[in-house]
Amino acid sequence: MTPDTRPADLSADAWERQEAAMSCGDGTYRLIADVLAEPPASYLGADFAREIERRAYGLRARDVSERAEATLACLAVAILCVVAVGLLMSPGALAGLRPMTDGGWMFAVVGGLGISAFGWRLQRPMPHA
Amino acid sequence: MEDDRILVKDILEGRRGAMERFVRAHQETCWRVLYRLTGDREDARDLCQEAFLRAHRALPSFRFDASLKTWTTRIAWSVGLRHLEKRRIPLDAFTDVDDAADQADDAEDIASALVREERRAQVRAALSTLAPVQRTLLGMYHFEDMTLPDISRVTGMPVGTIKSHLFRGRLALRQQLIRHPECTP
Repeated sequence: MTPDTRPADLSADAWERQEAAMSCGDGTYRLIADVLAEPPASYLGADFAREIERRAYGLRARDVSERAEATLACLAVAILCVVAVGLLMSPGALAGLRPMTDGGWMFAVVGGLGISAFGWRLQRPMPHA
Repeated sequence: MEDDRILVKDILEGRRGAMERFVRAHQETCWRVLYRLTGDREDARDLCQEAFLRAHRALPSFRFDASLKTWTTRIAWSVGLRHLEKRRIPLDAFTDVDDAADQADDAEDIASALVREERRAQVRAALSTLAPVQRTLLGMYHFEDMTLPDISRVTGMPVGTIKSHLFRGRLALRQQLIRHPECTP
């Protein structure tokens, strides 16, 4: 149902008269009001709320584990990329002749963290409502 | 509202019993909305579960711009509507009332002519023939005691449209009772 459902085509007077009839006027309307005020018998068991909690927290744990998994995967990719880039930036390191520069290491660490954070973000549960 | 904040914080921290308290507080309202929408107890129960799990996932984005009850009922409403749409059940079928408002006011008061329990059963039967949306709005207004603006927040419909649904739904029920005098003793 959307807000553009058939627009109101009801006069204020008709609404007021019916409202009054529901509370104190017409016997049939009063009967309808009585029945509408009856609760339908509930069908939810006593343990419904507990079961939902179990499932909800279970889903929550799964969300966290999924996030951790994605983070690790991204971290692995990040390490491979950073090592490759680092090697390109410091050609000597390829042959083990000289270590990577400080800038290279900084680049590697920041890049790895950035890509891992992307993995965490990627798995963030989306709001549904 | 402060209670809502504490409860939401507890749930987000994963405190034992918090989610259960949240569900207990709102499960009956959600179930009634879903039952009135679907007309089926089993479906309403399954959808109620879905609504609460969805609410749990969306809770981090809850901004307290409405009460937790209104917010949760809105989720149940949208879960129910999606279910009806999936099953291609018409959400809304306006009863042709024409100028029935005047007729209704002039009509004979039949309530006194009917046996009490039979009349109530007849109203319940008539209620089940209404469109799901009308039936649910009537429940929200008459049983849940929700105000028109609250119903509007839950359903996203303008207040005028809600009034129109309520008016036509009640009128349709009345007309059905008048049309079927077989319950008269």
